[in-house]
Amino acid sequence: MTRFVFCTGQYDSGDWDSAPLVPANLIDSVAQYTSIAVAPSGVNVALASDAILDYPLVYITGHLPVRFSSAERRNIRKLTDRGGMIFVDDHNHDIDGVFHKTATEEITVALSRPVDIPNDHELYHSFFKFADGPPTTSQELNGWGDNLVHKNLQGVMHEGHIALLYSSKDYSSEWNYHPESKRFNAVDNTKFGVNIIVYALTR
Amino acid sequence: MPSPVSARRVGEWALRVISLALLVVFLMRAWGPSSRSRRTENSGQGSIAASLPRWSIAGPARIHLAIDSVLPHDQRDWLAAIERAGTSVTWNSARIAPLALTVTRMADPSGVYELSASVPRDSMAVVRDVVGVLDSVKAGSDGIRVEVPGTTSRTGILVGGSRAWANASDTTVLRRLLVEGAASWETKFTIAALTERGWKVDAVTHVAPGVDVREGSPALPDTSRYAAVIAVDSTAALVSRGASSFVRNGGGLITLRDASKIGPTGATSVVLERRPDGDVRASRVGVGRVIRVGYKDLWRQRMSDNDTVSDPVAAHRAWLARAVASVAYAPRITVRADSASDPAPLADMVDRLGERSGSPDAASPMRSEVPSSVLFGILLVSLLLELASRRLRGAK
Repeated sequence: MTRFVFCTGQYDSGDWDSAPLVPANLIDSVAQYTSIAVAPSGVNVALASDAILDYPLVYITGHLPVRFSSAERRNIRKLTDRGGMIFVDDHNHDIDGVFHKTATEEITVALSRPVDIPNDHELYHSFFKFADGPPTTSQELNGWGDNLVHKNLQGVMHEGHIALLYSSKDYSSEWNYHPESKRFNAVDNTKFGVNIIVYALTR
Repeated sequence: MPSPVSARRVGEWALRVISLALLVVFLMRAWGPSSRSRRTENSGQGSIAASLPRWSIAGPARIHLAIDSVLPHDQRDWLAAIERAGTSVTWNSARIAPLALTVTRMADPSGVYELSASVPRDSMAVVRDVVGVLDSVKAGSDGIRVEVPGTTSRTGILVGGSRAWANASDTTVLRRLLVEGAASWETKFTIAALTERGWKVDAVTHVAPGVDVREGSPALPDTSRYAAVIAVDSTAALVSRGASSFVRNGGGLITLRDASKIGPTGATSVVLERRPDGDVRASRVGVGRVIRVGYKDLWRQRMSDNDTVSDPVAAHRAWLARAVASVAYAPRITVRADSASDPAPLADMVDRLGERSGSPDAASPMRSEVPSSVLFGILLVSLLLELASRRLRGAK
């Protein structure tokens, strides 16, 4: 069976590799909690490359302004039109920050404007149950960045499922640690990452 | 040795007998079935329709048609009726190709029909429906086989001077599909493609021990509920449990590459397709069918760009739908044939009017008749000769 490969999308502008430990951490969680056949390491693939279409779930993050090239936009459209999913996380946790503004603009141009995803969406019970919607992050709770607890994630829908999931909650900071360090957490905070991957693979 | 006078008298008697015989012939022609029946009518394609009423009244001895295309159904009927009334009807054409057509409703909720035509190898065929031309196809050694959209069930094909029309003679009862596999892109996109195609899909996706994502109401395979079941990989336990009896009772089973051990396989199998990464084999078990897909990562058809495919999503969907249609248990209900159907026009014409023939003379085995004007000339000459002979020898 071909294994699931976690893919981080490289884009020309900004800092696509700002959370290098997230892939390993999520791969570890998927292997730990599910029977999904998962490759032990992720890949970094250029959004502008046709090879990105081999990875129907793509993770994009960064702190800096994002400007997609026409090839990157075209591939984002192709990926989502064909049933893939893109997870974009604002590593700034800054609602009016440069990443949020520019990424939202680019997503709007490439697909359409992201809208709030209701907190009872199946994304929140695709594997673990999150009765209150998206789990909060320590960055939100300690008032860092925009000093807000974002109540909803946003998304662009395509034929009834989430084609692009946008987060202002800064999961990239929350999950950017070595998997071995999970044992020091009272609650594994990567569980929502498992939900995103299971959702992408099953809906 | 007879004298010259007696020889002359014999000659005169001979001339009298000839004259009498000719008079008898004239009398027979006058009292015979019809003097008009001695004519042969030759007609081209364009004048047949106008000539049919006249032929029906006049009843010529023979009609020979030089045509470029198969006659319409009503003209064939009319000519066959004229032939049954005693007129010999023959025809000839250099352009008419043999052609036979069937249209079958596929087991596919998108309403696609399969058009199969037997036509001469390498001929170009134009496929059309009642609205217009759909496609043109070059025939291979086994004729033509194309899928046509289900906007109308009446479909035609034109090859040379032959034009065939056919209606699907049956419709299908489509039940649900069951898809089962581990959480993977293959499982996800198999379910997606079949759902997009219009199939009602029950699905089980195994995510973790004891944790499944279920769509619909998945149940043990049974022909009362499912048309076909698809095992994506070796985790398809539900399919595995019921596959043998399901297939033996007429159900269809498709196993993808990682599920090759699931379900029964027939004693013999045929290769339907072959690619570098594997092949697709079909076999029959009981009254059901099994397809084993050996291709790796079918889902990549849908995602990856390919220079030869303009819409990879549609291509992936169509490929899976074809595979399902070829095994699906789909009880058929016969529908009344449309009177406008003409699935084998040349065969029908031969059945009604006989084989094509080279020329009117060669075509007709009828004896040739000497025209009356010639016979009348012979009669006059023989009478004059007999009269002259008698007068010259001094008799009255």
